[in-house]
Amino acid sequence: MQIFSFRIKRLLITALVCSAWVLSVCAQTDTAKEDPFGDWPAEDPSTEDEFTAIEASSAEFGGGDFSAYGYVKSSVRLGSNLFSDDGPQSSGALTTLRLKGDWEPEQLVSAHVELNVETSRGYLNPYGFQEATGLDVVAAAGDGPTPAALQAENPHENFHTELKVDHAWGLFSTGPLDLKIGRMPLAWGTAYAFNPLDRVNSDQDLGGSEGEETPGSTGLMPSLQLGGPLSLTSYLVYEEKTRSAPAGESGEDFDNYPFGLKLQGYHGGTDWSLVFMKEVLYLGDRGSSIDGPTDTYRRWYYLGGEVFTAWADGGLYTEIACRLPGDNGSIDFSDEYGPDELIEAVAGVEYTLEGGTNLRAEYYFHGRGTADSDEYQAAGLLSGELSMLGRDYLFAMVDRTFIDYLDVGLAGLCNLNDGSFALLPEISYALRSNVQLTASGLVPYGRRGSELDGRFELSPGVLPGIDLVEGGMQLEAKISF
Amino acid sequence: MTTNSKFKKIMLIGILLTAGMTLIGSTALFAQSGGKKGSDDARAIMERVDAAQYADSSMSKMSMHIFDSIHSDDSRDYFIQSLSRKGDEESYMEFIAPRSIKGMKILSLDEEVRVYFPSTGRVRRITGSGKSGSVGGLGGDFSYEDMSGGDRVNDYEFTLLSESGSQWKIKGIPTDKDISYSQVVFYIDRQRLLPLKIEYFTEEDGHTKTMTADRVEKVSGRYTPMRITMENHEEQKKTVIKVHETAFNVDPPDRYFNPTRFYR
Repeated sequence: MQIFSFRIKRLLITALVCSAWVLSVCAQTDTAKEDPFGDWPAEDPSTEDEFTAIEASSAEFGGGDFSAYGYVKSSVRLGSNLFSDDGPQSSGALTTLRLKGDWEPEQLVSAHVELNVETSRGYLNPYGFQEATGLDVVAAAGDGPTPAALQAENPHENFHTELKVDHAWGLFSTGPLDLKIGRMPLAWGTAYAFNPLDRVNSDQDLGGSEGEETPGSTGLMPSLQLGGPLSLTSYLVYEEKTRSAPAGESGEDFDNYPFGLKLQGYHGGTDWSLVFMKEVLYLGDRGSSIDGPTDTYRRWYYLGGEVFTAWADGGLYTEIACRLPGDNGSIDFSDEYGPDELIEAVAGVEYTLEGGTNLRAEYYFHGRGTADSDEYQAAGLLSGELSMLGRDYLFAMVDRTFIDYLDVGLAGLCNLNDGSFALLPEISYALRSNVQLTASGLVPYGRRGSELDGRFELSPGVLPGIDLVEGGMQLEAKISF
Repeated sequence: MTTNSKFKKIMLIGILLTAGMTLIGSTALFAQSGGKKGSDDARAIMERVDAAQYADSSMSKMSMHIFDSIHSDDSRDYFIQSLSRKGDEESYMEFIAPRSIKGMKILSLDEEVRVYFPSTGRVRRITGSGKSGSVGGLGGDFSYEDMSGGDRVNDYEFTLLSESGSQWKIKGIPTDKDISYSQVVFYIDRQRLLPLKIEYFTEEDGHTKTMTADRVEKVSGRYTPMRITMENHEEQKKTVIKVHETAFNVDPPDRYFNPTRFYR
């Protein structure tokens, strides 16, 4: 089966070489009508006053149009234990500046960059969160650095502010080919809360928030239009899922680069895709925290697909990823495995009622999880090996615009195995086109030890428990510019 | 969590603008309707207007300005650039402003809508777009019904009310109970074969809205209003659509209408 793995590598390299060849051929084709809009909004004496503001931020930059924009967002979290002395506080504050830029230096070539600056306090600070949840004690027990120790060792470091270039990519489009390189958002899968086809990004957050950014992944993504409704898209990413693998040594082995191939098409109101992917997860020197002794990296292959079809005033969709048996980068069907353990799947429905109320329900099957809460392996959640602990979930959401610019929504996630759930109410008002005020909440419910209650004993009697889910309310103001 | 409602309303603005670009002024729907006794003159006029105004495809740069009151100078503004073909059956649009949604792209093929969110890098299908509704929730006074005619073929009966030196006045009575208006009156420029004013009436509230079209320019051989204003008399609000640049019968590239590629 190692031979099979080698063939996959060779196949991938061949595909990349072919892409480069197609690229060179396509670059010679006539592309004069690729951009039907021309330079816009640019200086045009016939345009009206309303464009002044837009033009002001769209300037000539090295021979092409450069546009800068972004937003600043300030959030305050009020923990449910704000007025109580019971346990650590779960309140905090977060300010985010997101600066974005688009540049089209010439026809067929474009670039995009997003700079992210975050200043956080309390529960919304990653170090504060560790202390509030009890994870710092777990880290200390494992000889890991605690936030307090880190700050003591680095007194001049700023542990509240983080600056990073999250997205920075260039795109070359010509003929049937598009080639994107750099640090880009890679988000496969069209389901809302859970995306089994997303094997590149961390499982820390649920999907579905259209206003928030998918973290960038560094790599390349060629896409080829095959003709008619078919296209072939692939990616090769130079970093594994946790983004924590060390530089050098095995961390830079080609074997640790995740990739994906997707054949997608459409017919009428139905969109579909077939996918083959490799997922790579860094486990650290100790290997897996839940599967016994393993390699430093977990390398798994997946076959999957998705279908979305329109239905009356709604839609039906399904997304499935099936892990191919085998370990450590090989595929071995002789391995002992339970078929259901290899599957992650989502089936969902959305519908819009007369009057504009939107409904959505999504069932998620998580084969790696367990239906018995006594067998939960919270350590797998912390190491990134598990996206959730349970096996069956239901996500539901309802939202509606009641009066101009005021949106109200309620989402809920339920672990069907242990009965725990979390409610997420949200009310949002657009004070102006670029000013948004939002109040949201998190209301978890469940018995101790249930997943969405969040309290776990990693080593009963040895370590104090941790509490990963704390209810609270968040107030947010966002100004786009 | 982010609510779907907001994006659906924003999407509707884009679709509405694009549909309007191809069909505003065009009365293709009406031209195919009628045929009732006593409406021959009105139908003949509509056929001439249709012949003069119809465009198979278009490219446009447009903006919509939503005012909280008729006399207000303060507005919420949306800017898009769009392509359409096959009338308004296939359209592509990209938001330029507001900044909060800059880069959002929408592809509408035979009422199947796909939206690309640039920050998440994800394409989502949007269903139940509520084309029959208005842009309520974002304060707009246009409804898809006002801007597009595709769904109203054979749903109106027309009567020529008057004929002056420069215009025809034509009344349309819906024969389809799903149409929200009880009566629509067109004021058509005889020379340019262009409706310059449309009045909308409902059973409950009488004359509820008035749409006026001005700043007419000849583009690609077709008289085109570069500004369209809808005044909502009931709520004392108005919405203005401005066409900053447009061209008709442009043969837009296929890539913009391909669901697997329009967002790249």
